[in-house]
Amino acid sequence: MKDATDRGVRDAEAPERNGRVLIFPERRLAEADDASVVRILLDGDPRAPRIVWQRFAPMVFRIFKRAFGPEHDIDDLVQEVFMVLFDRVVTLREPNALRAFVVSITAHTIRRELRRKTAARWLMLGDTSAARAREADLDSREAVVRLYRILDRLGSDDRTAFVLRFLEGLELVEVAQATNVSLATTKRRLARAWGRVVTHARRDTALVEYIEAIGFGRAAEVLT
Amino acid sequence: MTPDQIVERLGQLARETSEDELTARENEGLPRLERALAQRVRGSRRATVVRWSLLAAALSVTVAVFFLRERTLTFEVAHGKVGEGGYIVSESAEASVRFSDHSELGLEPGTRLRVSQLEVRGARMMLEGGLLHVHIRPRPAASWAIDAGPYVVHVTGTEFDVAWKVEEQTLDLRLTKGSVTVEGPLANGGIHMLAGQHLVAKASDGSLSIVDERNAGASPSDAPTQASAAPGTETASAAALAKAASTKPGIPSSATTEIAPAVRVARSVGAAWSARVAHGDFAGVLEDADRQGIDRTLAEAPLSDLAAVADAARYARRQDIARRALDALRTRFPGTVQARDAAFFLGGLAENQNEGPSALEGYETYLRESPNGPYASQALGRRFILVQRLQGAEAARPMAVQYLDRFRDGPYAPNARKLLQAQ
Repeated sequence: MKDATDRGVRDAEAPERNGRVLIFPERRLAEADDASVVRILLDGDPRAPRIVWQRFAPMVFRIFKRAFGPEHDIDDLVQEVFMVLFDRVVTLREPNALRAFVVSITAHTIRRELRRKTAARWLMLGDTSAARAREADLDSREAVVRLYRILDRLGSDDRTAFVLRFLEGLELVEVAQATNVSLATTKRRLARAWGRVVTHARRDTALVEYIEAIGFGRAAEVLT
Repeated sequence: MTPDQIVERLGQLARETSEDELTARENEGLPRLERALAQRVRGSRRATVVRWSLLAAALSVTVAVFFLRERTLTFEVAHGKVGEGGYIVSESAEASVRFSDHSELGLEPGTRLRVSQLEVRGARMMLEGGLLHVHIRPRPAASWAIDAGPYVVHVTGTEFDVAWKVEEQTLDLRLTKGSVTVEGPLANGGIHMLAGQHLVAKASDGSLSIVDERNAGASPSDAPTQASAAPGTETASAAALAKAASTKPGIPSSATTEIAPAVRVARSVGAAWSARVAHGDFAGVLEDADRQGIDRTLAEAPLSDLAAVADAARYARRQDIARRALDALRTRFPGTVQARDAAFFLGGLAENQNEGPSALEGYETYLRESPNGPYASQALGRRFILVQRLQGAEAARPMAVQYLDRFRDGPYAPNARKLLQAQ
């Protein structure tokens, strides 16, 4: 039987005389390490969905938003990630690497979704994306939409690496682990993706003008 | 800012748009996940068989779609060569481009053409110079277009000869069969042409004329009624232009003596003026406006009718009415597209009346109000030419540079380069 600490139950101080029992299970679980959460998952604890959701859903949503941009519906993809997590957690060899495991599932889902989108475009006999916006009156949202149109031109592997590294800010090693390729391959993909994005962005006159107009805020530390 | 910095800034913007906090809607994913996990049932062997069967069926459909889907057109060049940049240059009178849907283009010697885009049911081509005999196979939803200088000829299925004379900046289109729509300077919204019509449009002086050549019995001495967009007095007559066109191989010389007196128009009582203008009924629209009273029309007509009167007057060379209608557009409907375009047309009218400063003001107003408008290329081009004439080459050079920056292959690019080389 698991002890109360493992279950995240905080015992109150001796309740012998008119004391109250205070229980804060969620807070304690939120502070639990990855290995403890993995144990809860493997035990089939009914609180497991809530625990992993609270711990990882913000990250998963954020990565998907950065991967697909503001125009993409990602709710189903998030569900997929968590369903796969529950299915595959038994294969996790290093319980302390749960976060990396979730990132890896997310990266895999991104690549698969990008390939699905590409196939859909191909079957629709051409690009189904919206017509190019008029080159005037860009705002930040339109600029971001244009960035994602540029990313649409990348291959799924290159784009996934680009998003994890340059938008999500993962370390090179983390990107390599998440995409299940070597460090050298990761670097090649990133260099190729960066070069293509720069090339396409430079051709978009309105985009360049907009970016130059709003100026360059802080440097993107993730690039160094 | 370097391109790298631009992408870095874009990444920064993208990161700023994705927040860490989940919205209420996103948090609804938790009960959904809990339900899905609770209801998950391991698939039975039978379900697996069904899944594989469905997958096989889907694969079959995919394969069928692959083999049955329409392919993008292809083309082959006969008696010509494909040069640098994909340009097709004819080497003999038999030169032709044959498309996989059996559409065909005949190229007169010296013609330079580039197929810039191939689609499933059409193509877009750029006629750099010379004369094309075009035969497009009619198909539903076909989409063919030929760019010639600042003009675009939209084709559905038809036969015609089209020439682009680079030096004269003149489009010469003789429609044999079917119909086409021509867009370009002074053809705002497109001019619909019917079989038998002959269009000559000169980008250099902003003139446009259409004559109907089917009325072969008409007296050659009749003055050609022109669907002329010329805002100036220097516009060549349709007959003269047709004569000039006939000197090119491939255009029947008889055309020069059989120009009909009037554009054939399908005039329907009560039809919208804009539709009638699109069909070439310029005189009819002006007659109706006159019947109602020009002053009253200019003061009370709705936007579309007022714009139609302005177009009709420009095409019919009624410059007095054209100017008043354009002024009325700008006064009564400020901020509309038509009002903004009116500034450009007023510039053109003034230029052709040798009113240089007024013309310059018109073009500059247009560029200020519509920096990316459809006439931006024309306005920028006319502006540096006017400034060169009025203020000298030194003042015009920065404008020529600006023109080349935006329209490297535009109709005024040769003038701009010449101006810069003379430095």
